[in-house]
Amino acid sequence: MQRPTRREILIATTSVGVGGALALILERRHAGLRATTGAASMQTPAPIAQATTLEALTEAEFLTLAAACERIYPQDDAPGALTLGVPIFIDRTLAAERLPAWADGLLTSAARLDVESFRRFAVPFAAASAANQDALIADWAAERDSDNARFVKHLVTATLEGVLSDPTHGGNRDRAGWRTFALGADPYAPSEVHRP
Amino acid sequence: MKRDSFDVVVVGSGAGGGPIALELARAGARVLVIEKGPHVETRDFVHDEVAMRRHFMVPDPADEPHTLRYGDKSEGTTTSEGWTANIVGGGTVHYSGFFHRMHPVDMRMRSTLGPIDGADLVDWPISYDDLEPYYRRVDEELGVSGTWRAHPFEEPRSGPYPLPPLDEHPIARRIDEATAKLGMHAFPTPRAVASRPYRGRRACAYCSMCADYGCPTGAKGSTLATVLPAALATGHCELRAGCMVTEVTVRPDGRASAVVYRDPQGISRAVEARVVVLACSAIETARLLLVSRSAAFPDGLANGSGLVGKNLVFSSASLGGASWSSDRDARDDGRHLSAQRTVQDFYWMDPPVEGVAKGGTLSFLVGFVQPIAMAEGIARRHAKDGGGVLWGTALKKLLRDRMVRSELQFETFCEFYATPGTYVDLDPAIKDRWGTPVARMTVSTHPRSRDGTRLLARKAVEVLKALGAEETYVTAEHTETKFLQGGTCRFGKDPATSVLDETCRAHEVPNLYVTDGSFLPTSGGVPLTLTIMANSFRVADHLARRLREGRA
Repeated sequence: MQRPTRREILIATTSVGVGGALALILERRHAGLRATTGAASMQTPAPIAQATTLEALTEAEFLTLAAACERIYPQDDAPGALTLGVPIFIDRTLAAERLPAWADGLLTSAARLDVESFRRFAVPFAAASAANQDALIADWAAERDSDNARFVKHLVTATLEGVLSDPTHGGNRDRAGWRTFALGADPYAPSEVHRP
Repeated sequence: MKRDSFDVVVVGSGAGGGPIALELARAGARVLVIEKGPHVETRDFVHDEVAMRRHFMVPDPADEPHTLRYGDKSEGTTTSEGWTANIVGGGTVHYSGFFHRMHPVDMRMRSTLGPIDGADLVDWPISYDDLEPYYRRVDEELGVSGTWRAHPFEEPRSGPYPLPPLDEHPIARRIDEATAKLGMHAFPTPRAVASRPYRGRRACAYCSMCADYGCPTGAKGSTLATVLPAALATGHCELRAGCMVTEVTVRPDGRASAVVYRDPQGISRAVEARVVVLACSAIETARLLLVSRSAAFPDGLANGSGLVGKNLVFSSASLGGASWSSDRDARDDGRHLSAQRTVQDFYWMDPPVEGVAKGGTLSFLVGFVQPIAMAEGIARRHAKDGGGVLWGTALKKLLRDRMVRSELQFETFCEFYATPGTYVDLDPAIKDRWGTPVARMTVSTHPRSRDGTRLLARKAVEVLKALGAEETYVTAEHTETKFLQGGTCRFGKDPATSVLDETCRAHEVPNLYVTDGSFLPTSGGVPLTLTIMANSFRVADHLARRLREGRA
């Protein structure tokens, strides 16, 4: 099968219900595409669209990790990883800090995820259907004590960090990650100083 | 040019280094404290879980790993475990400050239990009574809060806590009732957290982020907030942060001469010392001694006996909790109150309970505010395939159910028996990014540690069930809390069986002292930190006398 163009990848991905985050790349590299793909699935929330260029991830890494995060923490009636900006969180984290172990666990595995997706589905991971993405992750998660299984574990951790951390780190957009769990406007804020 | 020289150089600024630096500076000695980590001001600590998780106080294993193996047949895997904290204040910056004293039996394990197969059990060269005045000194210097509520298993005390206990979550009363029904005796957990303003420090603001965080108010009694500023205020103490000590050098006569360190710019420097005090944590102190080789000490400084690194102990631990489907009630009146309850009915059991004579402490706490850790814990606990992780729709659904529940957690601190198979040595293959061999931990858990810790977990779950918990869970039946480490340079009277003498001076090096957890011959059944601090004050008294008398 012919390798899909980026536009096809994005359309395929958005067709399974993802929203804002992936549209960023469209805006950056393919101005005008947004208009052609229809407003409903591709609306880019304003706060993120203004500023975002990738700081650490390559576009390919971003797409793969974004798709994988969304499968780890999917949209239901509460926002999923993409809407919450988890891939941006990962990008910002990699850019802001020297975290060799954390980075290595994500980046080399993202590359492997694409290789495996090509092998199985003849498309990169981000362009595979949600069902195929889930099947691949499930197979990896079921492996014991392998790099693949460790990657899934690491990705769950990184995703939950992006969902639940302070929005200044790039994820938990609009504090919607906290809202899902009734954690209040800022669960980390010290309470009023107690004066006995 | 003025020579860079001090009376005493203390390596490490945590529980072992802080108290002795203060006491010697008060005694008029010129003291230098060298700390590997940065000097973060109290006010600069932020409530940010992600920032805390990013190796905030522990080096990245890609740069400076430890290696860990269970049994001695495999190679170690690299890990950041076994580091306490690289920051001024050391592990006391991120501890919870559960400040239980050891019990008199902890110093008499060998004579109480007799020899135990597979364990290297010894009595301490000092008794509880020798340490008691120094426990009291710590209480007073740090402002420990607690209630002197008599219970049958209480250790002897010469006085009350200087501060009243912290305010407690409503569940504390229910724990009291439930444990009383079970015939147990719950009591308020003593904490190294100021419940009232104390010696210029603010009182606790009840943010509930003690564990793993630096305290932004200074209410938590870290050495950073207490003894170190007091030491610096004497004018006799200097602190050099961001400096990693790489070697202790010796003169031809075998006395320690200088401490070599890498400064923040990466430049190697040496500072001369009349006396060297190591307090780098049990694991890193052992590593520093083992890499400090010389003609006089070819196998490592103070290691003619070959005992440096042997007899490593941790605090044996079980972890778990319970949840209720009612709304979270942890935030009554806007403060994050903790359960503040401890049970020590299973510390020392005569007759044994379910075959266990020596156990430890059950601690109950309303979870600290760490939603990421909580979510991650749920994902791992409910993995479909053992050891894996839950993900996807199933994870999100479960999180939305569990994250909004009330939760009570337990943590236990149990005797970890020293074994010949549990030790620190230099990893034969792995080096840090500067080319120095890293510390390798080899762990072989004694069945008695396992059995005792499991017993404590069962008893904790009994309490949780008596409280009416719908779901109880045990995340670890028995593991080791690797922040709480000791034993690698045992103190004792006999140079053939111990590295340090009873004043924690190296038998083989008359001007070298060790004041972190390394001296501990047994782990006791409580967190080790208070005992390390008390011992550091005790050693300081001995050393100050020797310095005064010109015998150091």
